[in-house]
Amino acid sequence: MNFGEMLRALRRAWWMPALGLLLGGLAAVAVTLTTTPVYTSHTQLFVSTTDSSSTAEAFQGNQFAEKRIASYAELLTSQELAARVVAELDLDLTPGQLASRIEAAPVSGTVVLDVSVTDPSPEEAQRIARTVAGEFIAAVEELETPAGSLTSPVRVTVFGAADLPRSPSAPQPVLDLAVGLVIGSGLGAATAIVRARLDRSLKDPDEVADLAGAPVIGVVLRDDELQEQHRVDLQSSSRSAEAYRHLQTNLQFLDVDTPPRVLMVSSAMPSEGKTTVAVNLALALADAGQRVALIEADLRRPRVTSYLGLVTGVGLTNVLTGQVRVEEVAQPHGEDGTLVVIGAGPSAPNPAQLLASGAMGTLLQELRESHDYVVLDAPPLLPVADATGLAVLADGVLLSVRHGSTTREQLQRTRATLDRVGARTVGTVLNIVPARDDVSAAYGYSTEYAARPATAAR
Amino acid sequence: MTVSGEPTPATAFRLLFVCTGNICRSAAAERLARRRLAELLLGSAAPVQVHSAGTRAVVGAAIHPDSAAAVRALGGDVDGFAARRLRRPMVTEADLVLTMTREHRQAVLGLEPRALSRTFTLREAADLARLVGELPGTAGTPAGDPRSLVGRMAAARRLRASGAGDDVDDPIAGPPEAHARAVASIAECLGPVLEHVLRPSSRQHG
Repeated sequence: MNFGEMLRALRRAWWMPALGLLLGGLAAVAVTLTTTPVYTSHTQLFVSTTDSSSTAEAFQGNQFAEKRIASYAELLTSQELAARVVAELDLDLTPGQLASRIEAAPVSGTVVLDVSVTDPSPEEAQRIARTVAGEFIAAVEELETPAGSLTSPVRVTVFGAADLPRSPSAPQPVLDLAVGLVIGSGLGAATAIVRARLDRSLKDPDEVADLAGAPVIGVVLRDDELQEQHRVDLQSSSRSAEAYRHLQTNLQFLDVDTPPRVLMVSSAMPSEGKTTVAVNLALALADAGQRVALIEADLRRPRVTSYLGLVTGVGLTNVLTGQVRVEEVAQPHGEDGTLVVIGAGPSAPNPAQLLASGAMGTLLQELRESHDYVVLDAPPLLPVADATGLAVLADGVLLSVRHGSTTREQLQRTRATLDRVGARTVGTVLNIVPARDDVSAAYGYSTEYAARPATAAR
Repeated sequence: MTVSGEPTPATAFRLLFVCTGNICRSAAAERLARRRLAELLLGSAAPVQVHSAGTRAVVGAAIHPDSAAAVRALGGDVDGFAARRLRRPMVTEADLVLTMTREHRQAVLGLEPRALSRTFTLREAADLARLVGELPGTAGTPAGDPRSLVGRMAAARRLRASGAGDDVDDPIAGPPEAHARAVASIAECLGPVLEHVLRPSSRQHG
């Protein structure tokens, strides 16, 4: 995934970082509101050796103190010292609780110890810090005095007295909010990118063309009315009508030497819009004055006749079994009657066998002679084998690819299936494209661009 | 089973009504059609045979009492009725098959796909009969043969979409009002169909 793809993923799922930003901000506010303010008092302790009459001795003493200082930091946060402070101040805390409120760290490379004490009350923090320092000095003296000696060689002095904190050390609303916003938007952006990374569905026409091995000859935008009615009013100026007129035109440019006349419309999986493509392509071809036969060849889930309001339950299987001649069951549609529809007929137990039969080949041959185009609404290619045998009988396959739903793997497997039987994919239709997607914008541009010279010539 | 005159099998126009049980809708349609034809063809010799059958018929049963009451209210005769199961020869022999729903139409075509241009749902047929009557070129044509008029209705199918509105719902599980509604709806649709298909023929004969 390159930078451009990442940007596209972010633009497509812009709401994710935005939501992250909001949630991060809200979390920060929640933390600020629910945290009890606490105050921190700081004090510095200076460690030195007592008998340093010469510079050399002072230097050695200094080194000694530096080595000792890490141990002193431990001592400061010990339960033992905390217990002494609790006893001294008569605090309502256990030594453990108090120890957790004390922090001590040597300032690196120096003999200074930085001690901080945190408490809900600023005065209390200062008082405890002061006592901690006092108790610590006493403790060091006890520990460092060698047996039989009266004085300790180490001296600890309070160098910076415990201060009275003015503002709470936590919460810090501005800092918390900044951190919340940064983390929230960061996580949101990361989620958007990861999701785009994991999404294997097809969205890019170039990629579709590449994987299918055939050009994208139509892009149909998502149209709720079309999804309900299943057919486009080609006389209207809707985007869907425009898309199908365009598809119809593009189809005539395909392979001008051996133009495909018998077209099988299929898809990788069910519900990828193939029947809608087949029906409306047939209507668009008929509207352009072509003689078209549309065959409901999905014998498992026939939809064409019900989409067009024709008689269901009679058609292809009757013809293939020799019960009737095709003219007896072909149903004309529309006023000019250039479109005839052959329904699926009564359901048969062996659709794959019927569709790949010699009778089917003969029927297609017959229809090819009496019509300019034969459009087959075929079953999907991956779940059932029905369409593979039919694909060989057709001149070409038109694949409907559902934007954001058909995956790369599905299209690859579909292509492999078609290649294996030697079928030819002549084109793809990128279907149900969300109107706001960049694909639609890109296509809008290309059609506009294509149309310009024609209007200029007029 | 002719309505009037002597049966002449060679030319008798056979009308078949189809529903599920053959005790409500198709039975009512059969009896109402006979009554209507008796009015339309009074005194003429045009032979029309009217039958009915059910895809899952209650074989031998009489008309459902609620439907029978509704038919009687419209002047129909419900005596001597016995439900029959739909079989292929009935469809093959029929000149016009009128079903109550699209599902029945599909069942009829399942038995005999060749009957496509002779099989309609009752409401579809009523609509098509009106449509054909309005078409330029048909108005004023004497069009003697009722079979060719059925063919014209089939040809007009391309001009309209068949949908849920083509069905007459089954009243079998409903109250008496449901039967009355179904029967009234059937009677209303029978008018245009019978007038369209058969009246020119009677005029020519008479």
